[in-house]
Amino acid sequence: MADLPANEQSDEEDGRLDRRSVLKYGGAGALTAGLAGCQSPENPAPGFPFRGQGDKTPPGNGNGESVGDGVLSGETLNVGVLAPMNLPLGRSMWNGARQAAEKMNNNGGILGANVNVELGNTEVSPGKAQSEHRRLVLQEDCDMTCGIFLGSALLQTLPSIANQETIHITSASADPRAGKLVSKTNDDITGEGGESEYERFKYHFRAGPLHLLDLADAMLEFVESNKEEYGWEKAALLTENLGEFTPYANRLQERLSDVIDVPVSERPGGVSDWSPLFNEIEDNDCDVAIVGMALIGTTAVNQWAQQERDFEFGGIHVPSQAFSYWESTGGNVEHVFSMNAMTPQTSNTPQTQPFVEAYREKWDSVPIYSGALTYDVITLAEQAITAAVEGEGLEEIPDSNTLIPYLEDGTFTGSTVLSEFQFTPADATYAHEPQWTSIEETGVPVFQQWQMDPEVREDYGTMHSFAPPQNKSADKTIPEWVNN
Amino acid sequence: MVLDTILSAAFISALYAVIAIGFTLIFGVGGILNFAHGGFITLGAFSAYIASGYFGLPIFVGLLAGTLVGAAIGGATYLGVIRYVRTRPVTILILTFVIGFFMMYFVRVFGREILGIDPLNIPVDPVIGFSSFANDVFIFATSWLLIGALFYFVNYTRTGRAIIAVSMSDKGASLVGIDSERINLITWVLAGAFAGYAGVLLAGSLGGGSWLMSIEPPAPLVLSFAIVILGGLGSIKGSVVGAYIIGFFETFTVTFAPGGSQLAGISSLVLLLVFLLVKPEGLFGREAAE
Repeated sequence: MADLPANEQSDEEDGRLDRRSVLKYGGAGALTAGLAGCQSPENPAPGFPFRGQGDKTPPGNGNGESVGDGVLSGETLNVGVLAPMNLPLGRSMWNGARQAAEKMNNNGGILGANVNVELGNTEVSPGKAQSEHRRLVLQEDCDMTCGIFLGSALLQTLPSIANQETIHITSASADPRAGKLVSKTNDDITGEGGESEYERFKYHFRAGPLHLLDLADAMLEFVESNKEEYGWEKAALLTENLGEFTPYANRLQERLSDVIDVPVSERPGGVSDWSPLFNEIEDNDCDVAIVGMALIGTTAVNQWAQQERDFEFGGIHVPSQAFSYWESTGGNVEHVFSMNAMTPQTSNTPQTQPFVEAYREKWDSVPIYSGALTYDVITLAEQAITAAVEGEGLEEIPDSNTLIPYLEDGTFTGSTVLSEFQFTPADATYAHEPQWTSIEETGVPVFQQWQMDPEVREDYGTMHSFAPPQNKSADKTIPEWVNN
Repeated sequence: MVLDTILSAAFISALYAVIAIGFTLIFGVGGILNFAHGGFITLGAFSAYIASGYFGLPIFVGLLAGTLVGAAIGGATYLGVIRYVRTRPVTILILTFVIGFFMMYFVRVFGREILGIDPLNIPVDPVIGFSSFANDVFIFATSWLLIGALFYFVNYTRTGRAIIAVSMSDKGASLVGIDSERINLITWVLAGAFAGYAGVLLAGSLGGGSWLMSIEPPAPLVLSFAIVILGGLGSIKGSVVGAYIIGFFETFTVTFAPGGSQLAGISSLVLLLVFLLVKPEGLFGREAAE
């Protein structure tokens, strides 16, 4: 025990919620989720295999010198970025963080304070996420952390986040259990009572994506609003049998049949030959397959296209959110649609396209949603810190406990995804989550679709968005072989 | 719907038979469980990508390249490693495991570092590109053709009969003047060729390969093991029957069992378990390489 920090020791001794408790709650999905991560594409773009990987050089001057005048001049805000660098999604997070820090430092920092970002490579391992979090906070003196992909990684890191009493803003995982743990009104997780859980886990916030239950509601709204226009009368629900997808799958299994006829509802796992399932979908005259896929998404897409199946295909399709996916599937991903926070073509906010352009110029690639959200974390932190310093009359970077009320109560602008961003309140069922009401009101999530668009690029697909109207960059396309 | 299901099952079973046949052959002749079999399959698919995807040659050239590379790797594995440790089954087991993983990592590192592709998604086209059904028919037809040719070769040619002789007794075969080294080499080359060929067909059928394809669904390495256990270790016709049993069982489970789509990956393992408990010698027992 001697080598553990004091706060870790005390927690294990007094029997409060420890790593084991959270593991018990969230560990079931860890193995499968880890495998899901393994399955994801590893190459961000053609000719762009490794750029930025392992680079720890901070942007700006990076040495703590003042980058501008202000009450925090001479200070440095250290932000730890927990990203799986073996995935395009992780590299995009790290790029987004560095881009935001550099931009901020070039504009005088946060009230004069330099912003320094430190990488913690989580790979796709929950254990690595936790140990990297501790390293960033305890050894690299990070004032806050962000990132983390995979619900299992987030859940395993939560005790460390609580123990270090350091703000963490998630920017890739969509697991709703974190928000439920933070909530004051939920006491059904650890049995400690909501208030107690809140005090312990209040350091966790999520800048995005929307958690999976909100994403399920978004899918319901999308189908209900558009089924007539798209001519959809019957839908097949295919949600991969991964622990990560369970809240999403359960909600859609309960409610999708309220908005459309659902003759086929399956949770496939380990499927390599999709013919039997696709036959079933065609035999039931389904117009569209609403999917939730990560691990087995690629074989499904390839066989859907190669077998020219008579239904549309899309939903949440994680691999197709990477720019390299067109090349990986040899173009089979054309017409496949997926929810996303933004695409390189959308203008969710006035900041979206400038961010995409700057990203493209700096990193020779296009951002994935996680890159945009990690960029937003730094923007959001700047506004919260500025408000706290001014509100409290501070002359140093506020600590996490001082900052939390400003994050909880603030309305943030400058995001690349949402024009006005707020966190859900502490007593919400899912607390410290992105405040979201509906697609109609917020314009997110967008429905990305891979299309051929010679005006953008002749030799490669384009990630357009066909819905909602406020973030639409092209009409929806359907394959010529679909007759329904 | 039932006809669709039977067709799907027949097509996938034919592919499974090609996947398993090389594994059977090596066990039948040398009594070796070749756990590098998955590596051979992966390299076959990867070679097809290099030929057709990277150099832009027709996929038939890719199929040929995958088969030839499989044969070459099979021969090299025997000549470079296996023949020195043939009498030590545990060493062989471990070595073939290691060699298989080495091949997988080779694909990962070479694919990413040299070719700049995503090693988890290696695009390999179906051999017949214009129609998925035609591609399935091609796999079905060539599966029967090649396995029939192998069956003929083993049972009705001098070299084939020498293979059977070596599979029965190494020493006995030597006493009648058969060069068992040469026979073993031929067996490994043939097995490698089948594995390479199967790798190209499998990747084309799934829409692409991956450096992990030997252990990802349908996990050809595990599948081969299950098929030869069902059919009877070392029996060619047993392996064909085993492949069809697993293919049909899997397809019918996915189609007709409630929640069957969740069981796709484990149905072959369930059969493996049942056979090991109830009929461990398999359907056709151990019949050498017949």
